[in-house]
Amino acid sequence: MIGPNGSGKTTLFNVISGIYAPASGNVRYKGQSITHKKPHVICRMGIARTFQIVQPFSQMTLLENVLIGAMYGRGLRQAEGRDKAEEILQFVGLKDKIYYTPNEITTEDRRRLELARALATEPEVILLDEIMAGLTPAEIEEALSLIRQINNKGITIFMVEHIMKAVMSICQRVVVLNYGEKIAEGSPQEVAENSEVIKAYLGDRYV
Amino acid sequence: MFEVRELNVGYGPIQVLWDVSLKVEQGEIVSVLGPNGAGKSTLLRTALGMLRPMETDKANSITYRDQRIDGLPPEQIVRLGIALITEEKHLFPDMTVLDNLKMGAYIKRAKEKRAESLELIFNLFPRLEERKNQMARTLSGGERQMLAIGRALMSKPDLLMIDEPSLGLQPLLITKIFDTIKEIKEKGVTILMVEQNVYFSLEISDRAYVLENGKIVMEGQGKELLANDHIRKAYLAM
Repeated sequence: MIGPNGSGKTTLFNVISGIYAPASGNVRYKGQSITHKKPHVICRMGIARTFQIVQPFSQMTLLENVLIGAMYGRGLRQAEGRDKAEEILQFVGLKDKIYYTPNEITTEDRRRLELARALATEPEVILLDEIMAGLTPAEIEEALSLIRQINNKGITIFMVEHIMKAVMSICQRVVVLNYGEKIAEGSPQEVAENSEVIKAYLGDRYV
Repeated sequence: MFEVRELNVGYGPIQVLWDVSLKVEQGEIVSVLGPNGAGKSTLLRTALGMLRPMETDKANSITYRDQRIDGLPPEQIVRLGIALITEEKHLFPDMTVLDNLKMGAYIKRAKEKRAESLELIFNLFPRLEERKNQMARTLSGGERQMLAIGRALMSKPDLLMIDEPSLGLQPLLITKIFDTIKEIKEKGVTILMVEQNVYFSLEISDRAYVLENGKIVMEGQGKELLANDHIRKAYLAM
């Protein structure tokens, strides 16, 4: 999902994950309405998310942060949860920092932590809110490879991203929001050539 | 106007910056490029007095308009005419957009020009005017970035330091934010920025430094670095 800053992308994620209730309409997941369900219920049904403005438990180590996801999401006991948390932290590239607190790691690593916590709940769908902002091209390649691996495990990805290179290379479909309305939907190519999208979002100088 | 000499900075026993030296001349836009974790934000934070250098003698110093500023607290450095926009932005979430902007102008020389500054900022970011009575916490990620830049400009700085101006902005606004930075420069503000969007930042920079693993490994003119092989491979993925 792409769209101008302030067009409602994060708000939509907040509605899907149960933080806000919609004024009307509903959210359906696997043939069932999840519209007025609480965030923790939605998480246990298999929809996990990351936050653009990262929300770690700042007094806990990275391991504990991820352990909470593992114990809560699928109800693992501490011992098995711990193994799982370590495995996930290794997967996202934080293996060497499991005893650090979130304040002791870089912004980029805090985004990896967001991802690790979401993965620990063993989701079927994961909502990624701008996890590539602020990365260099080399780091974007790494992040893309991580997302591809997650997707190859059978996890569905719904992401908000402004880095068009990433969107173009990884997404099968793109939805565009503007002022809270969907203005386009289609393949990355179709959307990138859409004149309304260029006008509202991309600008004509962007390469 | 601003010079860092052989700066060493660390967190506890972990040293992050190693003998970093750089200069910014009046009226320039200077960029510091480098991967995440290289020490770019640490450099800006130290310049504003939020972190202390490890050693300070004649050889290791930060000077601004020929005055030593290493060792001064941030509020005094701001009064001298330096502003910093951090990556975390640190807005006041439960204050309106307008009040956040006004808070940027609490120093005397800025307060006198408050109305004029507000007009300038609303011209740069019409979205902020649309939302001026909303709480900052209701803003989207990109709008927060606009507000952080706006608030820093409210202090009427002579040297504006920006940590990743394009972070979280949509493509159209990325080109706009760099145009805006150029406009700010043309109004006489000197700029030192850290940025991941290497292409656009080098396009508008007079000079740039490359920081890797806490050390300056390269410096040059913006255009010259854009053509450099190392830069093209590591930062432009060409």
